[in-house]
Amino acid sequence: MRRLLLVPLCAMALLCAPGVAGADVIFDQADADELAATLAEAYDAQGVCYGWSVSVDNEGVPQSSVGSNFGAGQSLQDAGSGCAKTVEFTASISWTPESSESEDSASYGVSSSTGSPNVDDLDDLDIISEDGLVGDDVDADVYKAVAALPLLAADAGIAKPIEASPAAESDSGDAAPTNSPGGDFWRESGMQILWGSLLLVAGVVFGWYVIKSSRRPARRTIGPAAEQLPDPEPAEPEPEPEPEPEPAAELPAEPRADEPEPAPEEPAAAEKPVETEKPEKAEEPGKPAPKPDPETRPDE
Amino acid sequence: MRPKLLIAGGLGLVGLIVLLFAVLGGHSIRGYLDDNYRRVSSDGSSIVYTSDQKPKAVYEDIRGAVTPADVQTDPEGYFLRYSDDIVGVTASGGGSRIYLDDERHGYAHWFPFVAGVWGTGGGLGEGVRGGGPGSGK
Repeated sequence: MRRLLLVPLCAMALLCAPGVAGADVIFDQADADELAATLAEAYDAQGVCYGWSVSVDNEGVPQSSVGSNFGAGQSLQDAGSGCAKTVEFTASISWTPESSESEDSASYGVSSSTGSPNVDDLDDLDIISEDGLVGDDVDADVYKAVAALPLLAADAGIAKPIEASPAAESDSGDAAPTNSPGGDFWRESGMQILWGSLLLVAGVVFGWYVIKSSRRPARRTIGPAAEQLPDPEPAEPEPEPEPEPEPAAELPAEPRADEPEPAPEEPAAAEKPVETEKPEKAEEPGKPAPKPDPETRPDE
Repeated sequence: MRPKLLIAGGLGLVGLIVLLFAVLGGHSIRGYLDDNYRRVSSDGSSIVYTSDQKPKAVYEDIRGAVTPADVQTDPEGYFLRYSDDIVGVTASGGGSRIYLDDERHGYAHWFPFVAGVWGTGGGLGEGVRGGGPGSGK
């Protein structure tokens, strides 16, 4: 009998649980409550209403995250006309399915009842971006942007700034910083060092290549250069070729003298070349056939 | 050949200049604050500066001069984390106060604002840093 009573009671408790009722697509419920409490403190100090309204197209399913200094899940519009001044962070995010070809997209803004602060003031802080809204840390980015609204309102002059002073160290107990953020030098100058090194190496490599490639062609041009240099000198080698024609003129006679060696056809072989050359020359157009020598006529 | 060698020399020279600027031109957050803001008190590694400018302008100036590893915002101020230091910029009258502490002291001083974000001891808020529901494509 007791079990029968417990089941509906548990079901009722689950349905009424604030975490379920206030399901938020951006924040955990605890973070949404913490952010609303932070805005409530700012409202108490400045008299300006702050809130956030983020609509999400989660793979075709419309979801949202809203909250204000009145509480998580309560938008500034719900507050009605209770606020003389309002500043609200708004965003629209579209998460597409993994299988979809279209990319995730997002946009954001700041709406103020007085016109200031605006989204440009938020962008000056460099704490949120459209890329950040479609990244894995969207909750951290939205949290920072919403928490900065009272700072922007004070800077815009629509609210007085909230002063703060450091807490006593004993308040933090054993808490300590973790996850070292890395060296400031490399964060500050890393890209400069990278680009400087790349340019330096590129210059050295290019210079080495230019020198290397300029030497190779120089060796190749030694030949032609040497051929060109002798121009003034050819006076000496020129005389040498002159005697060559003389032996060249004798050459035709030598083969004639050598031809007899083949054998018994000496007389015919000596005359045939003369006969064969003449007809070939005669076949050339435009050139009149030379008159046959009287010595060859007897052969005909 | 000479024009190509001049190009190579120019590339190398520009690279060398960029390297020199990177090595010699960088600021440390402590040096920058000392050079640009009025020191009003110091206790060990904890130093307090003031400025006539509003907190937003001071924050933008510091962040632009020495890039922080992370930034946290709260209605009460801006908090910048560096490798060894934590800087807090809060309103003070019509201007600002700039608190410079080493990492451990800064974390303790600004515990209510950075707990669970930059270290241990946070209760609420740790979920914010655990990654969001969306997974970027």
